Amino acid sequence: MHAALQMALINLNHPAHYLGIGPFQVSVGNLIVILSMFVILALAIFIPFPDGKDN
Amino acid sequence: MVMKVDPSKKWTGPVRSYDIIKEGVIAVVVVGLLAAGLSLFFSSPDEPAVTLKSWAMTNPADFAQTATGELAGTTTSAGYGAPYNHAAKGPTLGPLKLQDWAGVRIPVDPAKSFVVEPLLMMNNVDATSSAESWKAATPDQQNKWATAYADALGKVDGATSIPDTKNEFGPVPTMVSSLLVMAKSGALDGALTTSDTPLPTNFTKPLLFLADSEGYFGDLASKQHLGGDQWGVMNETGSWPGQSWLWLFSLWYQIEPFKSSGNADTLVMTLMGLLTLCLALFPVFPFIRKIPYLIPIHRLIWKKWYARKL
Amino acid sequence: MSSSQKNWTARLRKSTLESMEPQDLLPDTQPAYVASWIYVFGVLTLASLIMLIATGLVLTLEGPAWWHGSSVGHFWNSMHLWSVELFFVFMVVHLWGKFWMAAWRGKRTATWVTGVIAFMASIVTALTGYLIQTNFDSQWIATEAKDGFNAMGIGAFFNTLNTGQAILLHVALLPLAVGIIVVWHILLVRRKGVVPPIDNDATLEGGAF
Repeated sequence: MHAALQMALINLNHPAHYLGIGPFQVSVGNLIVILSMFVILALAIFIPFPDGKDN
Repeated sequence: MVMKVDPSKKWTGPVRSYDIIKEGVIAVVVVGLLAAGLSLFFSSPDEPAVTLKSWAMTNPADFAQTATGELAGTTTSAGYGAPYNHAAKGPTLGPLKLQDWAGVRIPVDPAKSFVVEPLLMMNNVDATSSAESWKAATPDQQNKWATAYADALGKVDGATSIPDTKNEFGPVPTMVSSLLVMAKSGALDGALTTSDTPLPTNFTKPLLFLADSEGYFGDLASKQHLGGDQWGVMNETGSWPGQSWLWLFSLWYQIEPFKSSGNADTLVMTLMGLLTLCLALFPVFPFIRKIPYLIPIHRLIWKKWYARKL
Repeated sequence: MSSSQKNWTARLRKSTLESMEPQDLLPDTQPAYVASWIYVFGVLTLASLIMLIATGLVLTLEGPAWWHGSSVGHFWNSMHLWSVELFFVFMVVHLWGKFWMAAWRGKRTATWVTGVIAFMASIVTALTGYLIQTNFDSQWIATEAKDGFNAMGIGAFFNTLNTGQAILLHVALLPLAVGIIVVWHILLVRRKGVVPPIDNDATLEGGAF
């Protein structure tokens, strides 16, 4: 890839790290995305929603 | 105050103020900023495309073996069946031969399309006459030549040609060597993409030929963890996240009985279709529709509402 | 009465315009129980879809190979890719949230089903996007995905190795399909209103859940 086109503050253009046991393998990139969904769900449930005006 | 509310009826209870347009605009701005931030921090992957030329230059022995395999009818595409040719019936689901029934709608005869026809385009007498001799021979004779040459090539590591000391390979060595020369020049890429139309948008032929290569194309993919048996369906080149939403689809290919089944593609696609149907039917699915009642996460979501009632 | 039941126009008007008040379509109030961050993931998914369409339109300006040689093109490709990742993350959280709220209650089955169809249509649309990157990733995905489609007899009609076909599907037909399903889904949500909390549910109180 053309280096100038990369322009990323964090370079992901290198072989991925994989985690897993036996047949279960996941790249760190995918794992972060999947875990972030669980974290976001938990935050959405637990963080109090700002009070609105009830009528 | 205890309220009994029929959820199918319009809400007539207490309300709070809300601005749907403002919410939508804020959401677009937030997502735009998130996407811009992620783009600036991580950019996106772009592993350059490969060509028949890059294959022939990088691994000429693999190219020669695969080209011979096309002539011998031993490659994946030569033995594929529908929709490319009649070489096999393809995967089945019990009595359902879905792949075969769809018919040969994208005809590709690998020996002819990938090797013989391109050679006939070459401005080289050896190349064209070897292709003509091949065409003039019986299918049985062709198969003997190609199989013998494939065996001989396979025995010598890294060989792109083998001398025909016993006179058993016919025109095959010349054909394969000429095709290698053509591929290295880049002319084969042009020949395969323009064989059906002068302005190509369809890369079926060069991609099928490339996909028959285990020593180059398949090897590049394995190194990037993209193989079907490496959860490759959900992976991406480099260290970027890929199509993680395909995790369940990808999972089946890693475990039995799918992993070693010749019908894995049909089985996995059918299973995913059925599971999707189940997801759509959750509202009427016995037991599953009760889970939200049995594991009361809704108590947390509507915490304020329940507290207010008490 | 019977004449208006037979009249196509009257039936269409009844099931669309007359099924909803302007207040339902563009509300400035919500039921008081709609007070949780879980409720923002539908609109975040929709916002991601809007970003996908906008960044996708930018990418159409100079064609599918633009981004390989232009840093501006590459930036918009990155925007498009990260919008996809955000789109699926928000959609999955939205789906999980709706599951735990049993949001299909009160004759909202069609809302749930259109949501599932939108999810599946999005997966196919995303796949065609990966097919038209015109790089090694798209070449590999095309050769792998063909086996899945061929195995179901679909490959004879949708050829993943035909880049031109994938480009047109990804840019025209599939986003149109996703857009129509999503609009339908949103109209169903607006028409029915947001599902009430579970123990307000008369069907549950009756023990018939």
